[in-house]
Amino acid sequence: MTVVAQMNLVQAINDALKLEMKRDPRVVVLGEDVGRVGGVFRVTQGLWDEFGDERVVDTPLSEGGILGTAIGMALYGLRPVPEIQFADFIYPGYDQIVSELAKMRWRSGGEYSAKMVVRTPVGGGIRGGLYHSQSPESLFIHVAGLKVVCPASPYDAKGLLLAALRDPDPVLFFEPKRIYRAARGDVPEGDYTVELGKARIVREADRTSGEPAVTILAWGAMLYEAVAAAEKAAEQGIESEIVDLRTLWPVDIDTIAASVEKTGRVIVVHEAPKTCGFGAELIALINERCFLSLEAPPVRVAGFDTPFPYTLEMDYLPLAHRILPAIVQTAKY
Amino acid sequence: MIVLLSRAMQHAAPDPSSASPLPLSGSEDLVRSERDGGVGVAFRPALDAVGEALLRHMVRARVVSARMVGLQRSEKIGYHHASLGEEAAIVGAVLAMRATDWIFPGAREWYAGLARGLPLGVYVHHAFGSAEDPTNGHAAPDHAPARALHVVPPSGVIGAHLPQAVGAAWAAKIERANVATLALFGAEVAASGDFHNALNFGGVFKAPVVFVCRAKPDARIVDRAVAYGLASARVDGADALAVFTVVKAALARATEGKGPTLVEVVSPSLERVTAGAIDDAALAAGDVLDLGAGDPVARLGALLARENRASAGAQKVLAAEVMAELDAAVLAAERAGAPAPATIFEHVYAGVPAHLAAERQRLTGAQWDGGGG
Repeated sequence: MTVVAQMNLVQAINDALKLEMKRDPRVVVLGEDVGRVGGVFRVTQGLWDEFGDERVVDTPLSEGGILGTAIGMALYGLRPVPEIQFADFIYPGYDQIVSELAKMRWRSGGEYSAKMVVRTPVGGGIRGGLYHSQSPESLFIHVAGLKVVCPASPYDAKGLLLAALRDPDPVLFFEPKRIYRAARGDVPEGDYTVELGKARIVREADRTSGEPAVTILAWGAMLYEAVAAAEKAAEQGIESEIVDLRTLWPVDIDTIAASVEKTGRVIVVHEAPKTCGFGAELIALINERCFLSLEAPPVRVAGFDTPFPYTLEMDYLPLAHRILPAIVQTAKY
Repeated sequence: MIVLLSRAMQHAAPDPSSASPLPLSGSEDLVRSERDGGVGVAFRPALDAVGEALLRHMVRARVVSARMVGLQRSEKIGYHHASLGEEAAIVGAVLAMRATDWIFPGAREWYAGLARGLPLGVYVHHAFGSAEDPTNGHAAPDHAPARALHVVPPSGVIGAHLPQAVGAAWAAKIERANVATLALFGAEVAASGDFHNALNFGGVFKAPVVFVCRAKPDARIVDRAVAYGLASARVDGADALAVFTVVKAALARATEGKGPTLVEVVSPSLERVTAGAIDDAALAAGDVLDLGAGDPVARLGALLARENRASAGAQKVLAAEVMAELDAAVLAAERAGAPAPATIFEHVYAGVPAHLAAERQRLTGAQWDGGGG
């Protein structure tokens, strides 16, 4: 029988890293203060003690250097897992991701690949201001050759990370830092994976009443806001079906389309700015797939098209109190 | 400011297989190996043996590049990163490394793959982006991979390969493999953040990597080495034997665990190249073995002729052979035609995800299913 432990997101990710480092000697963790300190959020705590400073490496403070050297390691045959301390700091290494990591297999006709998982915390709500709160997923989804993952639960975090580490393609693994410790749940001990590219229905809409229902697409920390809003909407007799995307790219459009065909209404929730955010692509895909099933215009509840504010972050974030009116309006359209 | 290699060699151990024959210390002095000045006697046999290989590859690099310039002018290929005059730097450095060492060239160091054994025909297929191009026409000319030969395909982003060369070297060190890496680039790269990252990370982790930078005489890229705690040397880029010897010494240093070396190779300025005086007829005829004073190909040829190890006639024969090989390769590339349209979607990922399969279906003419994604 699988032993199950209560873990938060940090512990689940740490557990996955530890497990894979034991299983696969090619896995090397590197980044700013990931060794002795265990990372700014302590996600890599204990790895340095167990695996030593050749496999858990404190690097100079340069994301371009971390990612550039990690690509070289991957070309050579290691499985580097670079940590970028905050996703907001990934841009100095963006060129290495976009021009090198994502394109290595394609530009070499499959001769070379640079397999790695880039881990980085995303999202706001931790009083971090504009340089510690961003959600840049669409900047990576737009780049051919990358896979993008964002777990919401500890179970998924461990299973998705293990799947990402074993996937042949480079994966951006976005960790919703606001729920690093707040999200708790049962996590099996030992090895298991959650397949990449598969969404999960977190809450099913009951269509037996004949009342209007809404599909809500969310991921990461905002999943919990969607759930809270859906519970409030249910009090008003509106059913919500919530899809946790889990893997943002390649996206599980089949699960999304099936849900939208069932409800005829869809809301996308994300922290990133609305314009050209992933919600725009999701709605375009839904229009291509489910145009004739739609009974209301698709809606985005997103961050504003501004930088991320320090003081007013709770006004910026698409929290439950902003999702609820969107549910009601969409249901009543 | 010019010191002959012989003077530097006075400090070296007499054993020709000695690991570090040259003082790599960021010296102001330009390392040269003028035969009349005298290469260190102890090294003469090794250099003689390698001299012919250097010359053979340099002639080949020269003739191929000249032909590619011609193919670019006639718009048969998209473009070519001409390396006329840079042969000593490129060939000297690549031949100094062991076959098991990895090479990270820039696009202008495209000859690295050929020096390692990439067939000329494959290089030309790649330049044409033909159906036989190993990248399926994905990458532009001079960006060919040669994984079996440990040659990484050049990036179009100048300098992006430098930290990767450090990472691969660092990985080899972690794996306890006796493998070093060579990063080749031009002096313009020294302005980039990647250059800084590479030298900084390389220095911090003592990665077994050799940086070889081609530069104009006043660039003085070599002066940066001290800031990163690297060894360095400045070499005459018209002198293939000097480049070879210095890079060998840097390689020895790397494999001894002493970390990276920054080698600056001072490129010769060739009259016929700078004046744009190489006409199409000269290119077509392969009449490019002497491009003026300081030509590294002519210089090494003359040196070996003096040693009775090569004749100018032999080089012309070799050039003609390469031209004939090129003729056949160009014909084959033109006949091969373009890759099949569906190949655009290959190697984006290890597999073909559903959204790419749908796009591929649309491109290849299958009936539109009315769906998206």
